[in-house]
Amino acid sequence: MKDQIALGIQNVSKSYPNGVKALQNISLTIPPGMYGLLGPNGAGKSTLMRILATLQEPDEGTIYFGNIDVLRQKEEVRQTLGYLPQDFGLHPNARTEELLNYFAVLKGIKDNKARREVVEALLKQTNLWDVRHQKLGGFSGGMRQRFGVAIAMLGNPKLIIVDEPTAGLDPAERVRYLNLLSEMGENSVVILSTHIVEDVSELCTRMAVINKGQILLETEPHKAIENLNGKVWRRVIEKNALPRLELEHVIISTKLLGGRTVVHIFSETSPGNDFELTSPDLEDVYFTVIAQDFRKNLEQEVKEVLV
Amino acid sequence: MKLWETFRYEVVYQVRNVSIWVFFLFLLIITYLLASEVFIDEPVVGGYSLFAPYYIAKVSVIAYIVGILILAPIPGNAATRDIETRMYPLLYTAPISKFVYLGGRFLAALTLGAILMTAIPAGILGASLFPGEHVLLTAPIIPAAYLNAYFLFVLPNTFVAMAFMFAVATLSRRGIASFLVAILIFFIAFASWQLIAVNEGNWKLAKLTDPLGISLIQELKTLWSPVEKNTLMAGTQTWTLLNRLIWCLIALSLLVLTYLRFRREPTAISNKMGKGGRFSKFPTTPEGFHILKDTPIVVPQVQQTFGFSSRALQVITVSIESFKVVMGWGWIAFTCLAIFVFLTSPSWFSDFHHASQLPVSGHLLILLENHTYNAIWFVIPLLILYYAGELVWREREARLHEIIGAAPIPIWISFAGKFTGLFLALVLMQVLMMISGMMVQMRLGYYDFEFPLYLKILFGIRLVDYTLLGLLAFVIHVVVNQKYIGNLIIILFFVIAFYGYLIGIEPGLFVYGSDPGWTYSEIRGLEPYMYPWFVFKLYWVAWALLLAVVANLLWPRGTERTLKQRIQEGSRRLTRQTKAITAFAVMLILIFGGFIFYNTSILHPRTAAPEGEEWKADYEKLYRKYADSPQPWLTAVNLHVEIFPELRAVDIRGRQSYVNRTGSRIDSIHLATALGVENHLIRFSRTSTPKLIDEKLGHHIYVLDKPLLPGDSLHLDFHVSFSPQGFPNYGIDASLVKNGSSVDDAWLPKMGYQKSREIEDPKERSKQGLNPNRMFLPSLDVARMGIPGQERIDFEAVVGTDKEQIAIAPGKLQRSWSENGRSYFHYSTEAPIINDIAFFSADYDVSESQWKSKETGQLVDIEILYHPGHTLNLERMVNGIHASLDYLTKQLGPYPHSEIRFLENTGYNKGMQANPTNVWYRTGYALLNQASDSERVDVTFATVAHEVAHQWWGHQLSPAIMKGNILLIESLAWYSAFEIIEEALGKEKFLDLVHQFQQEYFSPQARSVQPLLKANDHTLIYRKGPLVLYTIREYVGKEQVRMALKNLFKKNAFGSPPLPTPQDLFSELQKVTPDSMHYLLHDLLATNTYWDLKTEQSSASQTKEGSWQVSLDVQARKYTVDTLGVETDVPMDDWIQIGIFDAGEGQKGEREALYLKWHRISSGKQTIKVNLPNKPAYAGIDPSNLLMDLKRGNNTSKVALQQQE
Repeated sequence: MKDQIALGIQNVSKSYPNGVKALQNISLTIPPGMYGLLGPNGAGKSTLMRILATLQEPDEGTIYFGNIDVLRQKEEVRQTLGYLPQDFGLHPNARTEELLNYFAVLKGIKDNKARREVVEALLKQTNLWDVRHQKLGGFSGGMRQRFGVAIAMLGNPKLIIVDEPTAGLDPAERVRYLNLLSEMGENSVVILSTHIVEDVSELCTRMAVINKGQILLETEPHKAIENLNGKVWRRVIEKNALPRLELEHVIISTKLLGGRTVVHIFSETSPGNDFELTSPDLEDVYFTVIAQDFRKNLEQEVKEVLV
Repeated sequence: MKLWETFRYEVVYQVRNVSIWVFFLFLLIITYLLASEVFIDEPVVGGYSLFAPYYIAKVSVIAYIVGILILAPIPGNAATRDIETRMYPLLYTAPISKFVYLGGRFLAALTLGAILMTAIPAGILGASLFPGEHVLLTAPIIPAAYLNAYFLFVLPNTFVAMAFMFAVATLSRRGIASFLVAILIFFIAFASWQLIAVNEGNWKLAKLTDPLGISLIQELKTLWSPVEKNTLMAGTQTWTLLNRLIWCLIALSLLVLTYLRFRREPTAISNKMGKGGRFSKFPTTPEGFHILKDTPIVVPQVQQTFGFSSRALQVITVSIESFKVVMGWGWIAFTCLAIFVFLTSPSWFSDFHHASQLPVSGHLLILLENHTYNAIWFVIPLLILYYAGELVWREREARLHEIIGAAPIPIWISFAGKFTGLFLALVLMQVLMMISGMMVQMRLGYYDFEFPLYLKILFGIRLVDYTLLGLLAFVIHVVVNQKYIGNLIIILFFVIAFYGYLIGIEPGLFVYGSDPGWTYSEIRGLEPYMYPWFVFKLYWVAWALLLAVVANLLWPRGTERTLKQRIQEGSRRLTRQTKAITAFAVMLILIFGGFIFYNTSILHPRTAAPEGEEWKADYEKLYRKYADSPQPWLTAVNLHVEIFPELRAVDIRGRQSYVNRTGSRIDSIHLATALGVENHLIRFSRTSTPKLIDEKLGHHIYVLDKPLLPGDSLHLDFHVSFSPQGFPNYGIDASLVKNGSSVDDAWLPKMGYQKSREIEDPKERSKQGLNPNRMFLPSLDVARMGIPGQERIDFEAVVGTDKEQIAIAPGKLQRSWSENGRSYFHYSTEAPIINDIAFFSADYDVSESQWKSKETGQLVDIEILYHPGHTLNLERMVNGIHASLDYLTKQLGPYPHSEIRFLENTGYNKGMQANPTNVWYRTGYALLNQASDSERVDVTFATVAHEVAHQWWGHQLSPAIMKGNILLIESLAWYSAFEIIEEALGKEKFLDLVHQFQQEYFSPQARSVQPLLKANDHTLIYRKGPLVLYTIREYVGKEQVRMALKNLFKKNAFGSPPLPTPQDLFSELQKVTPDSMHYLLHDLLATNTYWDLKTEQSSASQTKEGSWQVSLDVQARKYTVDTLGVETDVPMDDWIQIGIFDAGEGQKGEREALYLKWHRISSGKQTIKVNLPNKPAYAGIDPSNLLMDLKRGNNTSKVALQQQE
């Protein structure tokens, strides 16, 4: 495919009736390939994903997928959309093949033979072929997610939106699942929202970090890691030493390891002997961004109080 | 503690839900309306107060039908919220016992239900406190009555309903299942009342099987007197308590079962319920699973198309899926309905004196599909709205809505698919109904299925109605977007659509889906209803199209849910196409609506008799003052009637002759012209000046230039035509149709003020500002002179009709001929007849025979005119006519005409009506099929005998208009029929009929009624009257009673004043009765007397000689009951039969009387000793039930045989 289509999001905002500002003036350009949208719970990821999937209306902003106006030409978007929501169920009494076939019809695959082939191929790809006659009510979380991928892949979509796909999967299932996702159309725009850093680091060529409705960082994972090179320091401490450390350093993350606490801090220069330089990973990038955002907000609040 | 906390949390949680209070208010208003509007007639007419405990109980029970549907969300919610919100893992693992969890939830639901249902007594209290126009019905408030109704009807009902709904919802894990249970309970209650009690007559069983108590309260309606209704508590009756106890026990055991079956582990239940379910244990990964694969997903590139054929395929796919959803549980409901039809149907075809009828398709289909005949069919609309809700909510409840929302299908595909799915299910249901209908017919041995008729009614008429309702249900569910409230709104809608007329909401342009009604008849088919029906349905289909557009626009796609958001979203979807469809729908609505409006509101009122009561009130207010003004008396009628069946028109030219039979001059004529007819000519044979022409109310006053002196005569020449155009909103007049027209004399001009135009209903009278108590009876003197309508007239008529039809009028057929492609028939009477004329025209087949008197040699031609094919009863009818003429000419006097005709008219009831020389019967009678059960009473024969007897009782002897006058017509005609059967068919058949009458009279019978001589009540006149004459015959003698009746007839048969009264019958009976028995005539006829006779025990011992000494302890009491229900004991010293019987081991199993003699019995307890040669088995007092004893079962007892000493 030569004419690779990108997704352009311009100044999108959305707030809910209860006052929550889910998205604040978001702008992103998403090229074909796997794109990670990383953020903590409640950051606005799902809202953005639903807007992209034509299920919700932003208050303002424009979204274009190639030439298609996503907010106006919903029908055109849907014809080329594969969407895997964060939370979905399946008709428990329907059988695997039956329901996939149902969706294939809804996705406009009219020809009987072609449809059968597509369904078969997808079930085989997602390793559900052996359970094609089984009722969906008996599916495990992983099987359900794989079935979701199969639905999303129907009709060779150019825009694929996958919302928090790995939540609740056991490690083995997660690995299988990420494999599957990585194989999703390379020529398509694939947006993967998650709060798990590994998902992004393992799969995505580009990523954005979102928090409280704002994009904090838009980058390529390896570049972001490079930027942190030499700035992340590690130290193992007793738990009770943490409060003092917080006052002195910019803490990126704390982690428990064998009953003791491993602290990563951000520092342009060496913070002292107790710390050792560590090679940063994407998690450090993520936590740095979040931590900076947190601090910025805190400062702002302090200022407001003073004014 | 934990129980309390669970309970408290649940109550507080649900109370926070606003809809519960909306429901409360809704129920309050409904109950108020029921008490103050819908059922107000009962106390008004029945003479008890708005505060009567009976009324409170009744309204409580009826309001509960709405109540139970309102309750459904509460137990559904309490039982399944944890699962539906997926909070169950937290709760099921909490350290609370199953008992606490379920108990707390159930008690909370019960408490909420109990609180919610207080709206019922509150609504009734409201109606009592604000009685509006019915101030007269008020009385002191009896708090106990409200408590009684609440604690013994409402609360147990709530407990039972809650237990069922909670149990089913808990075990099926589907909250909405409670709604299905509510429908089921409603169904059982209605089936108990309508089928077991009303149709089968098994009130005892119905009183137990009815979970809501409708049967209990309906029985008391007839059983209780006004005084009892005002004072007794329905809740504390034995049957009520028994019913409550049984149902509470069933409910309790269901709860125990629920407790035992409830499992916290979701899998266990899922598997057991066979549902799979989303809570199943994770199965292991299938074998052969590769953990890592490098190949990218290679999906064959396929063509996605979104053209018409793809869309069609999508609609079909969605509709099949939806159809499966409906069938998921729906097949159970459908099967239940089909089984129900199959099981109960025989009773539909034997409701007339247990005589079986041919289950012709037309009758079966009317019973099956016309909801006015059977409220049980509301179950189907309830199912429709339930499944409409399920389908609208389908994706959201499965949490598939986001995936579906993002799928490339326009909303109309989902909508059309789901709607088609529901439609397919409805088609299937109708197919099932058709099959069960045919199976019913086969079961009853009938094989003429009339397939096209099934198609027309099941798929042409009903399916359209169901589909329209289904669409409305879809739209309401979409717009309201709240499942329970949506259901409630739809229920409210169809309660209004079907019962709205009770509060003044009539069918018409504003009640969605309504039509002017229809019925079917073999003779006229679906005419004349189909054309208006079709126009109405086109109008509603246009609306449905518009509603479908609305549903499409407001369909909750994606995750935007509020109405505002959906309107915004919808307006974005408003494409040019949508706009065009909307405009098209609106255009159709305007065209058809306008057309209907033109027909119903302009054309029809202008050309047909006015609807409503207002004009009657105006007429009475303006012209009642002329009611007593003397008018000429009708003596002869000569008519030329042209019936145009195709055009539905009649044209009548005629001359009516009058004489002044008063003692004074008549100077002005009051002429009542029929409304809706066109009067082309009104001309008197004397010159007159019109003084008042009121065409609107049909009253004309002409002043005669020269007054009509006593004895002078006068002619009236007139020409009227009637040709109704258009159609009304409801109540289409089917008397003029292509085939099977019947026309009475209502369109002829009549002299004098017409009392028949007055409104009878007291409630309506007071609404129209009239005195609610209509004084319609003339004074005795006036009545005995005869009033207009009671004239004896010479009658002659030429009646013309379509070529292939036969037209009928009273009198002998002189000649018939064809002219200008029409057939003409000339009738004239050979003896004066009573002024009760009717004309008929239809394509009849004729059966002719002749009767010859054995005594006088008089010849009478017998003609039976029947719808081709309806020949089943012809022979019986002819036999009946022969036997009746034999008996009546011998006992009373000659038949004054030389022809008697029986002719068939439309309708499935079994009525017969006697006009002079012509007796018409309904198709229902023609379909009576008694050949199969010769054991039973020959109803076919008996009815014919009764109607022929009217040619004497009624047509020759006609009583003065006064209370009790019908006694001389109906009771005597039935008594004659008794004797005709005795003469023709034998004593046994005669006694069978008597027993049947006894049974019908004594099955729930009001006690506080008028004495027979003043009775107007149907049961008294038609049942008690002939039974009383039978009793007198048994006491006084057959010949004596015959003598009395013969004397009565001979003195009064000519219709000249003074006309006879019930008192004349009484005197004639007195003359043939010994003085010592006069008390009996008094008790039976002049007062409303009952006997309470009982054999407490009887014993017998054999004497040494071998004979048997029988001893009976009997208890006797006699009392009168007045119309208010006050009982007064009367001392008695009456002749009463004592009978002793053998064991009935003879061939026929009938007990032979060993002893049957009159004894003097006084009030109280007494012992009677009798010596018998044979061994007795039963003994009793009044064993043949000659006396009016409401408890007939205890008259006779088994004789206890004592050992010889």
